[in-house]
Amino acid sequence: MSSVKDLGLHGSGEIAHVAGRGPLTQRLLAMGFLPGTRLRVVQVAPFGDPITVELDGWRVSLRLREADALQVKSTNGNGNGNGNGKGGHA
Amino acid sequence: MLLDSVIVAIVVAGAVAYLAWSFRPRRRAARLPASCSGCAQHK
Amino acid sequence: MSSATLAPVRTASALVAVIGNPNTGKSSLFNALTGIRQQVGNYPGITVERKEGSCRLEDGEITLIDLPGTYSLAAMSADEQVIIDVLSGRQAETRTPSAVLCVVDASNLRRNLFLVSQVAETGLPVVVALNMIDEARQRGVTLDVPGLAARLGVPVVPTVAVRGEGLPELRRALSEALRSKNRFTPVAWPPAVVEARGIVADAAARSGRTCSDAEISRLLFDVEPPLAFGGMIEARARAHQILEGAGLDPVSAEAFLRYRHLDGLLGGVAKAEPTPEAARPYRIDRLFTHRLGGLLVFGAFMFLVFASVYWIARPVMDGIEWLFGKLGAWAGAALAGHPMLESLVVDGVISGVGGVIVFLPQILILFLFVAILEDSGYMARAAFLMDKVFSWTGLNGKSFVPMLSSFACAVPAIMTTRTIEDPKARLSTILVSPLMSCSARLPVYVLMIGAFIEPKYGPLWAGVALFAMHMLGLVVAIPIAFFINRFLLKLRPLPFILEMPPYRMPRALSVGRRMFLSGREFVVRAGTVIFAISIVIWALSYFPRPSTPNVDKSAALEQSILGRFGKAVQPVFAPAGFDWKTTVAVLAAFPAREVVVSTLGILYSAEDGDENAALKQQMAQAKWPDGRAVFTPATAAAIMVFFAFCLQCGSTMAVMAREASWKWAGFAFVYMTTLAWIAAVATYQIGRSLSG
Repeated sequence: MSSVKDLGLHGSGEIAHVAGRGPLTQRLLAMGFLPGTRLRVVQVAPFGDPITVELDGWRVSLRLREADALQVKSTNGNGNGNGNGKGGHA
Repeated sequence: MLLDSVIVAIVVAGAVAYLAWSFRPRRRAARLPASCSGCAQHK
Repeated sequence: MSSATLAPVRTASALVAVIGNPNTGKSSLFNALTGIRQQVGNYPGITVERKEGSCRLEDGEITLIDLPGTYSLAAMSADEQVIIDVLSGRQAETRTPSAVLCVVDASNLRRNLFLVSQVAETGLPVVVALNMIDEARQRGVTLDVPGLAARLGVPVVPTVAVRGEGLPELRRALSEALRSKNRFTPVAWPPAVVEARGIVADAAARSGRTCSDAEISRLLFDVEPPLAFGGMIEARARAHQILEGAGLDPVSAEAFLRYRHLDGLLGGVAKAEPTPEAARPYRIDRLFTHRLGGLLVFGAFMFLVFASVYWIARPVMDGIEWLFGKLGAWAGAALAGHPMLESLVVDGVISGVGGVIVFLPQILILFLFVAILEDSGYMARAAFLMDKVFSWTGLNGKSFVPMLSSFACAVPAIMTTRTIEDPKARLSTILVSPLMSCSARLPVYVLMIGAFIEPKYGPLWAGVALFAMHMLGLVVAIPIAFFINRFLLKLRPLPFILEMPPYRMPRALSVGRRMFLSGREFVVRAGTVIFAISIVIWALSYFPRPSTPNVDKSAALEQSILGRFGKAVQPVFAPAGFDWKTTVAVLAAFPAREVVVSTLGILYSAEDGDENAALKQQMAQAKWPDGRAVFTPATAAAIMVFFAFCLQCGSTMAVMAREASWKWAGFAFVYMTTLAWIAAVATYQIGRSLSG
């Protein structure tokens, strides 16, 4: 199972699991990082850290350390990650 | 000259008083009720 | 607007809390509703900004309280904790709100409604402002607003805050909500969750607390609940077991169930068909966050900001100084026969007021740029690019702009730390910002380097020295920030989760309003203190008067309280090579750093120190009783180093006191003065031994 870190710039994937049992995990979940959500890495900072991820129509930056909690299945080449797995809600 | 001294004294005293007043802790931090002690350990 | 026809149904100013995700235009909406009838303060005991304002509705006035933006009521820092405290009526010195205005980004409804759904569980009536509705339409989001309102069970008002659209309808909706309670469609919790909630609620009731549904949700679902009571831990453990028994993971249960509920509510009333337009606001990011290009663009923007504050403000500041100089001359003439009063008015009052007003150009320019950078969305990119540099101190990229601005002047820079939500990170940024060599230190550097370094070592080394002085603060600030964060504030390294909003065109009105508000705030909150300090220092440097009249200024200063204090304290500075005149000059610089040069001028009788040539000459000739020269390159270096690290700036302390507290301003003064002394002594002793 790879994490978002491994997707690389422009890589897309679908969240399989959000690791961790702490407040950060809950915050990621509350922001919509749920299993089944599709996302795409759209920016990488100059030192490789942080990265920006696009999901559900919006973009958010995370440090690699936090992004590591997002375990994904790569869907590279399966279209871009603009939609999520839940059918086009705003 | 006496008037001068009085004016100066008032102004300086006013400045000192204002500074002293602004030194007080902005609002007295209310003591949290005991049942809220839980948040103290998390912050 | 006659309130005689409508009987007022509640007391004059009900409190309405304003909540929402970050980047929803919440502040713009708040400002649009309150205009400039707002005031800023702090919550007791924490450096979290508290913003309130008045809003006039049809049937009376309400008070709006702007709560920090957040994605969830599960608090991760002190400022987020304030949100649930205020909503539950547990925040000290704040009334319980009567309603909640939820500002929602129409393009991101699902994520935004997560918070709304949590907040609605407080039982307070809710009004949803569907803000930035224009952008949503552009991006292909179709919303059936009445349908949405019906599904959610609360009024939903489309708004474009920056254009003032939807505001009358919003005000009406608020009036209505305050009159007749409404209810956001509650989550239909599965039986296991209902049972778990019951367990927690019972335990709370047994220990004497009545909790709203919102608090029960927090107690049950949050990994770190915001409150505690006897028996809570056991109750939670049992409740979590029930959840697990039903196949729900307590950590993710709320997110999973709540989003499922929201998806159900939104089905059919909200559709997103991304148009080509949707990608446009992000296209510039290909350059702006590019590994190389992004840094270059960033450097250019930051240079622009810095240069503007440093150089554009200059002529305006000079103009203000000239103006106040003229005012002083006129007052001097008018008060000719009354030397004490004249001195008070000219050297105390006019100089004091001038000393405050002179900061306004820098503050306004800096806030102009900050407002533009924030409203356009670029600020998030700047924090993104700089985050790595800051992350190992425990801070994040948001501290960059305040620290950079401090190179121009710490006073407005400290005010811009408002953008840092976490109170501890904000405090620590405030505490190290004054270490950056600000523009007011420059006259000292120029004087010392010009008089004692350049003649001996040449212009190249003079330039190196000047650069080194600026770098000194930055280099030292990083380990100090680390130390303060780790050991003093025990800052829990916060995650860096920052939304990259689509680029937007900043609005002149919004930017202008922020400039005005920050300028006003500076004058009223810090300016009054700075003025008072100027008066006090004047008195200390004027009294007691020498008994013979018309004694020269240098002797008069020597005799004053300040002068005597300087002489008394001088032994402390002897190891740094300071004579008593230097010591007094440094002490007298408290109202404003530049004053050190003019004070040296007075003490060395070089007539108000404007004639730098004369001053340099006098200083070069100054001798200790035993014949050694007072000013050697080592002394000059020590003086500069002391000045680089000290906090001889009443204005900075006043702003720190207002943004944080006098306790922290005092702490900053102590640590920086100590650091300055140690560094100056080391510099002098090393320099002296090097030159034999």
